[in-house]
Amino acid sequence: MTNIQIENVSEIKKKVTVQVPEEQVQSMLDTEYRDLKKTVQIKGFRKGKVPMNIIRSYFKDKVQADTIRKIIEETLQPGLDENKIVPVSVLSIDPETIEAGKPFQYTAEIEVPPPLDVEGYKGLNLKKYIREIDEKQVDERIQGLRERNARLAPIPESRGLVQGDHLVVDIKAESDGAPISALTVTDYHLEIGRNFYLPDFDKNLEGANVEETKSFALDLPESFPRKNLAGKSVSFEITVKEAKERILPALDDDFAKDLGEFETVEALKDEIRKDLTQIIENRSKKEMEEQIIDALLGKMSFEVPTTMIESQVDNLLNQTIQNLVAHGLDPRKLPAPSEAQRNQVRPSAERIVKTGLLLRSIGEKEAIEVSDEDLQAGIAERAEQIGMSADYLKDQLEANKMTEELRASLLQEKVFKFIQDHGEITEENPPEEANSQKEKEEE
Amino acid sequence: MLEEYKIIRRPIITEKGSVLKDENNQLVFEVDLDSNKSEIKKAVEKLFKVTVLSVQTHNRLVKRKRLGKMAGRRKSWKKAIVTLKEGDRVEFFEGV
Repeated sequence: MTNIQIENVSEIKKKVTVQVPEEQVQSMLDTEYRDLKKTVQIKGFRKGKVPMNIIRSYFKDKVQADTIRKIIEETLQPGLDENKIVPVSVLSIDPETIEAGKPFQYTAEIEVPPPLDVEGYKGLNLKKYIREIDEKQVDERIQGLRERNARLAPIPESRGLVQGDHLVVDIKAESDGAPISALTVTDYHLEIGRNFYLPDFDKNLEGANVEETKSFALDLPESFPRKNLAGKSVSFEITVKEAKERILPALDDDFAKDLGEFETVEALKDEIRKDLTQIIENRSKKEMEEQIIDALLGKMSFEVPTTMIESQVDNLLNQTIQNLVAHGLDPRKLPAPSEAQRNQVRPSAERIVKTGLLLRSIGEKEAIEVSDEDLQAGIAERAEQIGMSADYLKDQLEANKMTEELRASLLQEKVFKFIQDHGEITEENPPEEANSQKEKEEE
Repeated sequence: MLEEYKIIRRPIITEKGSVLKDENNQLVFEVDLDSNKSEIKKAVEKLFKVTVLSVQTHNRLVKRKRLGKMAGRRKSWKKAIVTLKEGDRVEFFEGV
C-alpha cells in the first residue's frame, strides 16, 4: 500500500512524503491508456484500432501527468485523514517522474493549524460594565421622533418671522441701480436661520410680516462665486409671500398611535427603553468578548499559517467593499485594494484568525458543540433581526453554503458564554463615560 | 540534405502498416517519385542500420479534386513497402 511519511518542518508546516508502489501506478497508467485507446483518433487508423505502442508514444507525457495528478488526488487527502491532519492549505506538491520499475514518490508541503493547548481560560477576571438607561436619552429619542413628524402650518397673524420659519419669497436684487438677474428670483423657498441664500441674509428677515416687503443692503463676501459681484454692496427688496412654521406633534397617546402599534406614550417609551437596553447589552457583550480575547491572546503566543491570515484579510476587504456597494457605489469603479490597505487590516485579521483558533480548540476541549436545535435557534434569531422568515433565511444560507459559517459563529458564541460562565465577573462602572456617551449618540 | 533523406520522404504509420509490420516485418514509406528499388534499399539500410530483404513500390497517381469552381490536383507520390531481415527493428515504428 501507499507509504506516508510526515515530517514536522515547524509548528504550522508539515512535509508529507508519499510513496506509491509501482504496480499501483502501472495499473493506473494502463487504465488511462486503455481509456484513451477507445476515443483517440490518429490519422491512418480507425477509431479504437490504434495499436497500444503508438498511443503510448504519442500520449506519454499527457498520460503521465494525468496519472500523477490522479494519484495525488487519491492518496494525499486519505493519507492526511489517516494521520488526522487537517490541512489549512497545501503550499506545494513536488512529484517525481514516473519511472518503470520504481515506486512513484511525491512530497507535499502543507500548512496546518497550530497545535493549541489552551489553558487558563477558566476563572478569568472579567469586568462587566454596568450602564443604566438615561431618561434623558429616552427624551432625546422622543424629541427626534417629534421633529421627524413635524408638519408645516401658516404662522399666526401678527407674529413676525422667527428663526425656523419656512418662507416663500420674491427677491429682487440691485447693485448701483442696475438689477442683478442672477440674484433675482420669484417664489423662492427658504428656511430662516439656515443662511442658505446668502450669509447674514436671513437675519434681516426676522420680525417681518407676511405680505410685507422689506428692503436692505448687504455686502457680498469676497469669496462670492461670481467674480464681478464679489465684495459689492447689493440692495435687496424682499416680498414675503407665505410663511409657515414647523409644528411639532404634541406628545400624547395619539402621537404614539400614529407611530405604530403603541397605545400610549408610555408604551412608546418602553419600546425605546427596550431598544436602548439592547444597545447597552450588545455593547457589554462585545466588551466582554474583547476582554476574553485580550486575556487569551495575552497568555498564548503562537504562529498562524499565513494563508489563513491572508484569506481573512481578503474577507475583511471584501466586507468593506460590500459596505460601499450597499451605499450605492459601483463595485467596478472601486480600485482594487492596495498593498497598504492589506497591511492596514492585517493585524485585525490576525487577531480574528487567532481568536477563531483559540475558541475552536477550547470548544473541542470542553466538548462544546452546536446542535441542530442550536442552529435552528440561531437562524430564527438572525431572521428576526433582519426581518425575514426563518425558513427563507435557512434556504438562503443553504443555497449560499453559509450554514457552516453560521455554525462556526454560533460555536464561538457558545464558547464565549462558557468562558464567561467560568470566569470571575466583577461589575464596575464603565470608564470614561464621557467618551462612551458620545459613541452612543452616534449609534 | 543527405541523399537518403531525399529518397525516403516520410514513414507512413497506418493501421494497414502496423499489420504489415507485425506479420511480415515490413515498413511503409513515402519515397521520392524518381527513386528506384535499389536506391530505396540502400537508403533504408543506411539510415536505420538494418538489412533489407526486398522492396516493393507502387505509384499513387495524381488525383483531381474540385471544390465548386476551383479545380485542383493532388500530387502523385510513390509508396515503398520494405521487408526487413527477421529480427531487425526500426525504433521509430515501435512506438515507445
